[in-house]
Amino acid sequence: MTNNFSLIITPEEAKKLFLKKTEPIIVNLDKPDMLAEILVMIKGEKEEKYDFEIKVIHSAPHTKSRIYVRSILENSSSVNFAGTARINETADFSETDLSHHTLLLSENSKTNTLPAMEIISNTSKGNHAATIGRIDKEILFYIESRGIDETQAKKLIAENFLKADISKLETLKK
Amino acid sequence: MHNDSTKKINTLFTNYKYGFRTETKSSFIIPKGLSEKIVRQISKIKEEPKWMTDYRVKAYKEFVKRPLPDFGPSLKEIDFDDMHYYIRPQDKTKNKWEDVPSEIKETFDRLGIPEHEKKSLSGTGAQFESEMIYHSIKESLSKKGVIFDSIDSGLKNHPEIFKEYFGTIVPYNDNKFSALNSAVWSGGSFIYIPKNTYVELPLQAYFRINTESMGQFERTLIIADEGSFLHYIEGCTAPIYSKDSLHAAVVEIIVKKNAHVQYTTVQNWSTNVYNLVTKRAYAYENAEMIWLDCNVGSKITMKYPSIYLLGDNAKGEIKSLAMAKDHQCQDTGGKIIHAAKNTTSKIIAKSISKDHGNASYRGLLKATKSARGTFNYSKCDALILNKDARSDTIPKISIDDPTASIAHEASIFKIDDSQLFYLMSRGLPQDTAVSEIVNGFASPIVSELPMEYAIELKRLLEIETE
Amino acid sequence: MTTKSSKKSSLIIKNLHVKIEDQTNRKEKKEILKGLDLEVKEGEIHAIMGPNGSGKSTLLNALMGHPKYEISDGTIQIETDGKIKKLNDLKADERANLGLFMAFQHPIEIPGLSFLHMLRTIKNLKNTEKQSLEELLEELKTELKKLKIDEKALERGINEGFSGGEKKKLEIFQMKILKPKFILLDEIDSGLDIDSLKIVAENIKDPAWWGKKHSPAIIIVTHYARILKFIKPHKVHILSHGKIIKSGGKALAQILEKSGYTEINEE
Repeated sequence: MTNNFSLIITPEEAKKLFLKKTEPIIVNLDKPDMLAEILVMIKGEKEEKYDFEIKVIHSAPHTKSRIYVRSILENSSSVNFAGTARINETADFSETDLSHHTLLLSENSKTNTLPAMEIISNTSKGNHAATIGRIDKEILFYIESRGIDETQAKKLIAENFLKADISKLETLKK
Repeated sequence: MHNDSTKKINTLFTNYKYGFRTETKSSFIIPKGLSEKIVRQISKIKEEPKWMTDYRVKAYKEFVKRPLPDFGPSLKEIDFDDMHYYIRPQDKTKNKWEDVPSEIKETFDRLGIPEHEKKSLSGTGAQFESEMIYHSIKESLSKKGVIFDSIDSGLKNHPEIFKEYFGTIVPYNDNKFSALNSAVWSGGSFIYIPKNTYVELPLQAYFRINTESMGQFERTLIIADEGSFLHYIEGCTAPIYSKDSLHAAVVEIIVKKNAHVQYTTVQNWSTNVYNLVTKRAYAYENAEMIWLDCNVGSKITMKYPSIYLLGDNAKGEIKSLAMAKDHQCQDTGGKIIHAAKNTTSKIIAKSISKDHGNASYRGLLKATKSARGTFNYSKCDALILNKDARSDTIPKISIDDPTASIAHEASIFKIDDSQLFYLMSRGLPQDTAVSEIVNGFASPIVSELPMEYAIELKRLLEIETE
Repeated sequence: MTTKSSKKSSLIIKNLHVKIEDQTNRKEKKEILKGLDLEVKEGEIHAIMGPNGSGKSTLLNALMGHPKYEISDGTIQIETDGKIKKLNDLKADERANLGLFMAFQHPIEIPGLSFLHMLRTIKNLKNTEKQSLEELLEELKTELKKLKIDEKALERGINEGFSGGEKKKLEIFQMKILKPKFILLDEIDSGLDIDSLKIVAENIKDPAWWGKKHSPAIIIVTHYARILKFIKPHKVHILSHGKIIKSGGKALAQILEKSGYTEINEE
């Protein structure tokens, strides 16, 4: 039918791509009914500094975009992400969902995020979200109470956290 | 003050002193444009101490040096040479009723504004009644030790406090327009609330005498001493017609330990006005600062009320509503800096765009390296009513606190056809249904306003969304 | 507030064809109703039953004027005292003002706008009876009580945070306040437990609000016959593939319950 764009960046790939400043990833949804999905998973270690930008531009009607970034930051790692979802006036009935969720696992991490939305259409919808936080103590307690030690439990939670947006991807289901 | 009314009041209250009224030395009008000479003239007319004159000149130099901001709407059309930067109160002429734009006159009628208020809002008449109210409020407050004065009087009558705080929250070199304001500021409020004093009555800028209260380069300084409580309200829902097209105001607020300040603004300037405001508050240990900011008027507004949470357990809230229609641009939002332990912040922003309007949210949420236990919740929603309207949400989040808990969400909505159909199926005509949905959307913010403002703002939103 | 005539008004549907945008291929429109005829008079209760996809909800939405449903042929009319008013081109609020009311299957949420405010606005627009706020509140609270809904519902955003069953009851609450002539019930029974179903049925039949000349006409769209035990229809119609294929008395509903839709289709 129509071409969909799907990009999944694993933690290993993120280390190769985003530890130095690169060109922004730009996706143009210029044909009707196009769907673009981008998932970035980052495992920040030591003193790694992740720096990247993603831009999605909707210029045709009935287009959809999903940009999901998940980062877990250990030691003195940091992430600097700028995401922009733009829906132009020619992109009626479009939708965008942009989120960046960060899990802080150390005493020294830094997070910079700018999930921006620019919408010039009164028939389209857009959502974005950004959260930053440490492991929920309730969740940790629950898992530990099942007999799993703290280190393992945290590892489990972090892994789960990184993959949490995978089920939202339509392109993977097909 | 307008010449004839000045005479009237003088004859009735011979001993009554208006803090800021200056003596007419010789008739001389400061020409248009800005220069160091003009800045010095302004300071001289106001009979200011040397430190203030020097401050103004330093600020002027900074203003000239600085380029226009590199974000937000374009300000290139402002002709800085084609305006008066200071007009003495006695030289201000009344606006002519014929010049007042017809949309404003229409809105007055539809809001049911009484005749004499129409005149004062459009700058075409005197504001006698509010002067009386102001005077009696001032008297009851001064018994508690509360100072509620014009800023010019603040400098004259309370020089030590004034000098201690002025320019410390918003330094002259913060941005181009704080530099401009610092050079030519005139009019505004000076408020000091002593320790553990609870001011029940919301203080309103409107109470103060008119010419300076709606000035172009207003400067407000509020100092809430430990344990005090204040709610300050500025502006009004009815459109205010101003011939001056540039308004660059600065508001500085210090909220000391355990104090609580709420600053509410309802802005509805006429659509020729560039409204560029720097508003900032410092909140100390256990203090609470709330900005409630509603922007409905002006051609372009750039305003990002800020709160610096500098003391442990301090709390900050920014609640903002912006409506942009017909080529208006409301570039608003807020800034919160967490720089202490266990500080909490909340941002709720609602914007509505219509026709070719652009109502955007621009925010900064920052937690410094020394912050710990930072907690924030932000929700920014935008409603786009028709084709050609626009809304951007640009929330910058920069967190260096490894123990922070931050949650930010934003959604951009259109009017849901199903909601519209539902209301229409109950007998509401389409226009009314749209304005009901808009009011429902804005209600988390509007409901926080004091009742009279809330009622008026709702009515205004109804009119504006037709 | 009394009706002008003593003759009963009718809702007359003739050869109704309704199209809706095709979800899979947006360039085309799908025809859901393919020539439906129905006449309902004030005081009559008609049940419309049929399998999923037969067009039941489409019929009611098209009657109420939902913008997504296009009437490609046929007419919807209200006849009062010999005068005929065509509804095809009228907007939803104009139809509401002519006495139509629809209780939605999935009532939508409108945050920030309270029931109290909405009903007050509607009453003010109607202007038929000058009611003070106290009188209105009395009326609203009385009706809420009859439906066993907490008064606090008045202040909440429309349908915000209510369960499916409560939302259905709130639809009937609004109906009691607006007092329509032609009531369209879209699967009012789905999501209701037995007790709530009884309360809803009682309120629909409540004679207190039929202090008008005639009781309203009711079109109940339902998948199951359960509600028809509480609101006994005068006529039952079976809808299939966009047309009424069979009409009968309330016995027809019982036959349907026993044998299901496939058998009737095969007849």
